[in-house]
Amino acid sequence: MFRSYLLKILFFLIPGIGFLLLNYLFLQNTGEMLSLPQLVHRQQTDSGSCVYGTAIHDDTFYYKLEEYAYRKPDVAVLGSSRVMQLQEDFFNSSFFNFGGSMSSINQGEHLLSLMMARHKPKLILLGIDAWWFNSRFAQVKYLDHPLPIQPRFQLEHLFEPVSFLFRGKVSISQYLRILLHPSFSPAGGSCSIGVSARFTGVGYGPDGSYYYGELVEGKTPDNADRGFSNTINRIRTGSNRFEYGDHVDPTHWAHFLDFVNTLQTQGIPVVLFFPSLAPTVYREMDRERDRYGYIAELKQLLHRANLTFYDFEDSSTISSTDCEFVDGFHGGAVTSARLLLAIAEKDARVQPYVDTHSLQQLILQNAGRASWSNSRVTTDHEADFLGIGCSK
Amino acid sequence: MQFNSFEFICLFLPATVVLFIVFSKRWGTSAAIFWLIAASLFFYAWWNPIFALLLIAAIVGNYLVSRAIIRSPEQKKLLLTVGILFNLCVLIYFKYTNFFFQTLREIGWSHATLPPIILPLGISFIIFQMIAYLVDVYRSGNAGLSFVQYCFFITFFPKLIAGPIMRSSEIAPQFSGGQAFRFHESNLAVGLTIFILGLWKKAVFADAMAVYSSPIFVAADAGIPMNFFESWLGAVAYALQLYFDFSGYADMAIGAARIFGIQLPINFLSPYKSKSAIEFWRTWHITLSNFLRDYLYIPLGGNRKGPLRKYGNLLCTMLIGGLWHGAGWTFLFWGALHGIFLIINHGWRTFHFSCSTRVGRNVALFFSWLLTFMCTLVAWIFFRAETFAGAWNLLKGMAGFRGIALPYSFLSHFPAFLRQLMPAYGFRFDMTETMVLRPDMFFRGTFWMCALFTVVMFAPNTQEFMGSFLPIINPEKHPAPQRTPLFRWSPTTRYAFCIAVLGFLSFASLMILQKTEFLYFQF
Repeated sequence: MFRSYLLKILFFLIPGIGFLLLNYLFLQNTGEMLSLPQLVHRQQTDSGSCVYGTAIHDDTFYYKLEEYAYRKPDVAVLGSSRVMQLQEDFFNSSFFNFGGSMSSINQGEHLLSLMMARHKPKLILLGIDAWWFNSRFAQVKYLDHPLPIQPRFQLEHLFEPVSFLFRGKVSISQYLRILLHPSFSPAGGSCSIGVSARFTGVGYGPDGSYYYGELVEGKTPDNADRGFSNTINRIRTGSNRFEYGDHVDPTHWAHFLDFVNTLQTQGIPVVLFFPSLAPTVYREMDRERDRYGYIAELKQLLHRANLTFYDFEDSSTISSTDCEFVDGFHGGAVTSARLLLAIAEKDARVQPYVDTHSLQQLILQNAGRASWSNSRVTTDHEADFLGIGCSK
Repeated sequence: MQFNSFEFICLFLPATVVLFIVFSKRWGTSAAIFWLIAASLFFYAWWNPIFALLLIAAIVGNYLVSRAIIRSPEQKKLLLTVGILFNLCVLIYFKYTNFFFQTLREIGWSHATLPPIILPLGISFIIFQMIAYLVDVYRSGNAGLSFVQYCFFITFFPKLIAGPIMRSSEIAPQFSGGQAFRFHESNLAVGLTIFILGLWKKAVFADAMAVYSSPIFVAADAGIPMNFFESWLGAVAYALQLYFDFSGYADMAIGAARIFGIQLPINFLSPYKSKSAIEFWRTWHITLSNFLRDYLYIPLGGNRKGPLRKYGNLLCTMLIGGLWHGAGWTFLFWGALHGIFLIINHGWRTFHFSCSTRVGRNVALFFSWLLTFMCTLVAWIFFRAETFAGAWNLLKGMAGFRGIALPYSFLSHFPAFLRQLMPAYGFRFDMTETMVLRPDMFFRGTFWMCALFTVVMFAPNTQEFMGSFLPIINPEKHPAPQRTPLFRWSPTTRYAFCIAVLGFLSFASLMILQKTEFLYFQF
């Protein structure tokens, strides 16, 4: 009776544990099981060009903080995902991109307190999203306080590789090849950490900037913003960051002033700018200008508060075109380079950190594209992924 | 080496069991005992070989003192005092020296700083067992155990680091019994089942709760004002974490010992179902409670010298119990709180209140349970918090001193009908309200907390689940469960499947949460 019971336990247990071990090995080989310090160390030291793109973790905020603490840069850019294309190559000094870590003012306050505790940069560029000041846009209040412990590893992670297989994100042969050859990277690239980076080329560089990988290569079959249709739909329906609003929310404005004051009192120059919208999207916004009264009011408030800012919402002011955008409101690397060049030419605080001549050369060589060709990430070329007839 | 480590589960335990089978079958019981002592010393030395030498020295020293007590009855009191003082000096040096100097520094009496003293693993448990053995020998005048048996009694790896605290009277009969030190399939089946249940409690339940309780306590200690809801989540989650962590460890110890045919004393009996502080201490960490009662409370006079002295003894016992748990003022305060709870409980009993109706009795029982749980919860906050300020911060949040509201950003996480309904019932969503946990974590944590609380209250405990397959030491001290549980284990295909699934999920959890220590390791 007891022997049969023990044999049955063994019978049921072995296949399950074997299955988990394989998944664990898959995640281990792709680099998903690295702790944040291990990950940052590897990304910064292993040829200095590893792209990290995770498919299972949700702690980019803390990953970037860890990376920032390691690099201790002179220049940092803060903002939402719309500033993620500013890269270290654009600067002649050390740089880190916190793009995506500040999706609201409250989140920015939280980020600021944590980053200042680790290192104070010499210059901060702050990309402002107008919707932070719209009370109809839900504020990310829950990130006001530090989260001391983030559960980076969770039980369900071990089952994720199965969902990758079911969703076709990973084929069986790729799964097996990863198990047998830990360095196998279907998307190319010399050093990719994480499933997304390995399989799609999507992820963060060591400077915190973002690589769009398969999206800009035209390999994403269901690109939602083809022809900017998704962004335009948001504007027409007043939804998903493009909510209509007449006035600036006073609470958010007060928080923003506190945020800027905090930086200024610490003697850190802060350069404010509005990232670009694709020209087509900007025109659509312009048509609905009456419904976005709060944006004009915001710019007036900034003027009144004597805060210098650079407004690139209309990307024609920096000669950027639709083809240089990743989607309707995310400028690509070239747009970001143009924007930085424009700031550096006008602002003496930024000028020492930017080699304007090199930047001009980079822009000339890559005009009309959303990203640089970067062999450390992929050898594939950019495609007309927006379907608007761009010649790349 | 921890019970929830790969080294233990995949290498140490299987290798120890296999060689135990070989030794016991080929060379008999004595060889099996020698093998288990060797394996246990290796288990201890894995963490730090130097401390294994200290353990061996303490074993030899204590055993010599115990022999001297037997040989010199006229000097036995002196020898016992020397033995106890020696053990206490070791404990005080390793556990309390830094605390003592830190306190002197804080009150400005000294500026001396000592290099950190590494606390040998499980020293509190080991020293208590050694003291208990000396006292037992002193009281009984018997030779007690042979040296090899004594070595086994102290070092046996399942209980070496965090108990259950065993008495020599509990192990002695097993040396001469038929079951112990002989391999039997039934022992392996029962032991493995209990071990997997314990692993499940630790790796899945306790570690799941830690994800929610730890950030809240850390934030409270950092001075971040705590919200009403997350204060409750943090406190209850910690209570559940501690219970599942420690009772899981106890189950793993009992299960691992059972594989070798050894029975360990039971340590938990559904403590959170207790309806009084007295009952709580009869069901929580039972072996420690018994130790404190028999070797501290009763020698101090117990209840034999009048009520005032009895209450004084209770308070003194619980203060020492608190300090045993950790070198810190919050632990001392935790002990004091439980001392006060026990005094009130004993005082209340003298009034002999009773209800005549069944409904009245049930209502009284419910409120007794609620009060007991709340008192335990408040005490746990001081047990877990690093500082009094942190504990007070959390208590203020729980008491609603900062209002009872959820952050505005949580509103969108409720279904539309609830959003309209909730304000009518006093729920506020406030723009200025903030939380340490993100909404998804908060809701997941609340769900887990409710689910595990239901498990604690309604699922059978290990003793009930294993039924007659878990014979316990001194069954007369632990009344059998009143009711037949919903589930009762038997070696059938159904339970083989269930245990395999639990083992599978626990193993999976270990793969990704490899370095979570048992909370009681620090004691």
